[in-house]
Amino acid sequence: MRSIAILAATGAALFALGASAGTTVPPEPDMVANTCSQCHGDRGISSAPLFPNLAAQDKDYLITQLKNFREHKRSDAHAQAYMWGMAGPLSDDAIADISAYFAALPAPQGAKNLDSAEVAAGRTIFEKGIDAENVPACGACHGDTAAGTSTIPRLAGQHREYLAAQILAFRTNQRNDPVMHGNVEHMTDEQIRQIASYLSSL
Amino acid sequence: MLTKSSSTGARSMWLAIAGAVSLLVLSATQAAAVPSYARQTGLACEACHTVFPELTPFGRKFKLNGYIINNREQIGDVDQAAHKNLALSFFSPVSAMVVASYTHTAKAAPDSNGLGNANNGTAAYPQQLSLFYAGEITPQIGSFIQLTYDPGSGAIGMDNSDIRYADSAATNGGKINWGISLNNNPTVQDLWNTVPAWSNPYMASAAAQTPEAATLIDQSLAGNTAGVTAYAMLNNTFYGEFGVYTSAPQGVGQPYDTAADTLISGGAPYWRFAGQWEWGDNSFEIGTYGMSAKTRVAGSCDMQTQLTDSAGNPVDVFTTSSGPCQTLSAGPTDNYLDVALDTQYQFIADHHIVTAAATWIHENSKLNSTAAAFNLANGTDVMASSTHLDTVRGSLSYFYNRFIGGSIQPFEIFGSANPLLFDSANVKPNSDGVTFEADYLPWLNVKLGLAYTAYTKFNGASRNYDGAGRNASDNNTIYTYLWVAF
Repeated sequence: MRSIAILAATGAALFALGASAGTTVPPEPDMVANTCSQCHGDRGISSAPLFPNLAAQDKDYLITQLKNFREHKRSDAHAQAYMWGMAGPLSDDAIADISAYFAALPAPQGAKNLDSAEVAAGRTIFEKGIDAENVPACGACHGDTAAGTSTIPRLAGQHREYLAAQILAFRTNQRNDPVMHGNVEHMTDEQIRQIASYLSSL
Repeated sequence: MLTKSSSTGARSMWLAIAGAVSLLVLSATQAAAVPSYARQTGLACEACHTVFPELTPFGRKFKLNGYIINNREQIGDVDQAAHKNLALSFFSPVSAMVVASYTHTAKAAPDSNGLGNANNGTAAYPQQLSLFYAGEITPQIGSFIQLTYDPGSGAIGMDNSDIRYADSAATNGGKINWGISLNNNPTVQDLWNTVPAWSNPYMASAAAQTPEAATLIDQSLAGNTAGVTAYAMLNNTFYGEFGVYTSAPQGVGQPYDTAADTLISGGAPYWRFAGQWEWGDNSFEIGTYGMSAKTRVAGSCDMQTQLTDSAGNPVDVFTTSSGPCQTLSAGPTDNYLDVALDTQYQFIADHHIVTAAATWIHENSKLNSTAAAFNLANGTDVMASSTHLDTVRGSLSYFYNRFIGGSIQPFEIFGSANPLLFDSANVKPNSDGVTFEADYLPWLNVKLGLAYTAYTKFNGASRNYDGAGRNASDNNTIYTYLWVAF
């Protein structure tokens, strides 16, 4: 019995190591501890959907966005209200450190208790797109598991409300991105809720 | 049984104290939103406020953590160990706010000199003019310091003040944010918009008649105390605070003597415990706060008599009493215990904001000092008895796009009859009613408000509460104001 227990403990430890392999978390930058964490959490998991989860987000994407905030190139309402000020004093080195920290954190857990029909419809959109609305399959760029690739952001496990707000911002060009605007400009509010629910559930 | 005709120096002194407190309250309850925080952080008002001055969850964190987020260029320095030991903003965190208002009551208020009625229809410009020093002072100390010009007294005085040191520490799987606040008004340091210093109505008329009864913690000590409190928040959920207050009256010489009217004897402990939870667009808080205090009434053995000056005008003069004078350093005390419950719910979405807040303050008191002063002045032998005073206040507000909205604010004050304290015909404190307010914000730092307050009971009764035929509804008030912060 004792051998089994040791084996089980060893296996659990190896599993835990494997889960975090290759993602050594650097020390928490002071800026994160003192400022970023107040909205995004010390471990990159925010408590309110107004603020996105940053844990396990792509480092290059975070760098790009922080520079966009700093240089006022991203102008959706919440970016102006919050992030223009927050990112204003950040140097390139500070942006790199903050981004590396959040990128190395464990990814958020998918949301539970979502409307299963809505999630299923969202999955169809994610995997197949919507031909009638000229919406391509999201997974083509964001990856099969929505984990993102380089400057294409991770969407899995993000707050449903935040995702919906961003798609709306792309649709209305409040968040200026011609590619994303073209992808979502014909999506209905219901379809936006569906895809947001599915991504949040991952 | 004491009657109004037995009113003497003690009674008059109490009323004078009540009047002075009312003036302090009027100036200190005028809440504030501070643009210098926006300048310091680079964040828009909406980050910290739903509609000013009500705080969002982020605004509560900003306050909890000492008002020190600073995203602007600073003059800094470090010591030999590379610890940051200076963080001065290039520009002082100074802001201002001005309020202009117009008040009209159902019937004109009685003239303060007993000569008929006052003018009905009061324009106040400014009703209030405040200057703030609000922002980071050192890397871990921040401030909210308000100086206010009060047109009633024609003077500039200290208003709400909260200077705090804040830090944080990691715990086993969690985080504690803690700090120490030096402030001058119990509850001004609080995070939620339920407590007396920061709850609806955020702006109220200085011209309208308002109920005379208020518990000690309900702004009665605002601006004339000094307190130090220590607080901690665990995992942004459980909040605890404990501190002690003592008197620090304004406008009187030091050391404090009988000119100070009333002083806290020793220290008055203050406590606050709350839990808050945030989920989705929602947040909820429930908690308790309170304080215990012993106070002494000073100089109340002096007889107040009315003489006539050379121009024939009546002048109140305090003469020396024949009995031994009751001092601020010895003798019986008025003993207060205030215990309050509060709760708040907020829903903050992109377009719609709903806030429900409520508090119930229960006060037990035994006014030994006031009774002794009364007896000295009147030759009576009244024993102080235990009394209670309760205040229940609520607010339900809705705003659309932080642009237009309003609130319903019911209130009720009730408690024991007390001839030592209350001037109404039946010497009861009971008042209740509701305020309806509509607000329009063309910009996030400009608010136009229109409020109507209806009383169903005022200072003890619905009808003839003052024994001179005045009814509660005579004090129904229309109040409109312009509030600009810049």
